[in-house]
Amino acid sequence: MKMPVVPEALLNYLVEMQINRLSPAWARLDEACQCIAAYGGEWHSYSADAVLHVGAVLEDSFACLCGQNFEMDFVLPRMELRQGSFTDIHFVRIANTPWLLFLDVTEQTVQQLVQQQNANELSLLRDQQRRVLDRYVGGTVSERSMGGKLTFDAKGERRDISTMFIDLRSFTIFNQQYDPQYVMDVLNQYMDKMLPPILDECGLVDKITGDGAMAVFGVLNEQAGTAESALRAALRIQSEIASMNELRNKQGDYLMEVGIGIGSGEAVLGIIGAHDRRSFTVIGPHVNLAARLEGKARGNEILVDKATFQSVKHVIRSHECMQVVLKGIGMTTVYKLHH
Amino acid sequence: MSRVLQKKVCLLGAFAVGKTSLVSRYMNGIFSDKYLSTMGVKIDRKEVEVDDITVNMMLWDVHGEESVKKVPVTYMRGSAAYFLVIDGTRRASVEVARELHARMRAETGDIPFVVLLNKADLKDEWQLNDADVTALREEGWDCYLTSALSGENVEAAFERLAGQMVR
Repeated sequence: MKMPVVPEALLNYLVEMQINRLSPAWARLDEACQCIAAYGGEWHSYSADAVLHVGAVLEDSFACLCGQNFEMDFVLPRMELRQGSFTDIHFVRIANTPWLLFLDVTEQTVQQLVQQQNANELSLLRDQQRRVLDRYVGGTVSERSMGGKLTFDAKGERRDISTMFIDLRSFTIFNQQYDPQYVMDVLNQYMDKMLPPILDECGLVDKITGDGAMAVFGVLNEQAGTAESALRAALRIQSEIASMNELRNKQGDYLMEVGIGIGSGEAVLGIIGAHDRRSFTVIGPHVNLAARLEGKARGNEILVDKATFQSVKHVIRSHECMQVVLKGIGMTTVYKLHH
Repeated sequence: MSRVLQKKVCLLGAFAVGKTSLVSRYMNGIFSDKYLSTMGVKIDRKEVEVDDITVNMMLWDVHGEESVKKVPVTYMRGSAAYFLVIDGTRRASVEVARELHARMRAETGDIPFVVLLNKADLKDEWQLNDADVTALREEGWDCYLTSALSGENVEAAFERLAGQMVR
């Protein structure tokens, strides 16, 4: 072996630093790689109960090598042979002689372990945040939010949006007549039909108000046709609620229908609040109008304002135009969309 | 006198899907909800009786697959069977299992495997739905819904794989 020319003192230092610290232990194997032909080094560092003697069957001495193929060289890195101790196991053929070499890599592995643990915990935390966001604002909005692509500041941002209010009719009576736990379970069943259509249309569920919700379409910068998105969500909600009610009716369960109001127009989107209590909000005249329309809508009805109607009239089959007095707004043209 | 077979069995999956917890539940009947990342491989031995054969399962609890830290093929070589572990609350862990499955097959060929859809106790938080599970079964994946926390199906799944290795 050709050694680099270094003073003996430095050579000893290098051997100590690079080799002895790894507590090397070795075994020479027979030609078939089934038995130990010779062994040496610091075996006590690896396994107190290893059966080590010349002629010992390899798998009896090292259960971790069970099934291993010795046709080519290999390295098994970071094997935790004893609790908290890590070993790199090398198998090499040198001049046709098969060797096993065990090296203690506990020190460096433990350092890596701390980094890996932190990285994995962060990744899990991020997954958890994404799941919570998914539940409340839907996959698309949550993805953008996690990627930092969905931000609003206190000044707000003007956008053309559509706002939808939905509400369960007859909920108050239901709430008074039944056990609160049962009410909660049924409410969740209805919410399961009301919220996914909104999220699937990239709507943001801004508020859940016990028996209803407010949703905003157009929060994503590039989202066009917000009124159409809101309408598609509304039609799907009514269809899914009707199917569920059909089933509930057969089972003799209490039935609730949904009233929906949609308004469209310019609004300011922003964050209001102070310090640690802030929330997303939408401010604009059509938002109040949409709330009033929902208040007027009866079960199974969808009422929209003029701006929404103008945007969706090419996709609806029939409608009814009405003049209605809305509280705080006065006489207003309202469209009842048939579905 | 019964025959004794020694077999290497790998547990493969994304990180934090519950591989170590499943082994701990199966070996010692215990569960800890503290997540401790696995480095490298930890090996446990479990004897399982299948008919008149004693199967010595060498369970290789392999570190979780990550994009920056792949499971080396040297860990896979010599396996007689393997578990693919999926976390039902993390859809992404299915794709990781698929990739590991493909690498394992390329390395060892057509050997028995069982899929553990873990964290069944957190069903409310699952991202996999019934249709996803049905689709996996239709692909020929032998799936068990398991919980290392409650022990649900853990023993049954390990015994199933032991049985497949001797038949």
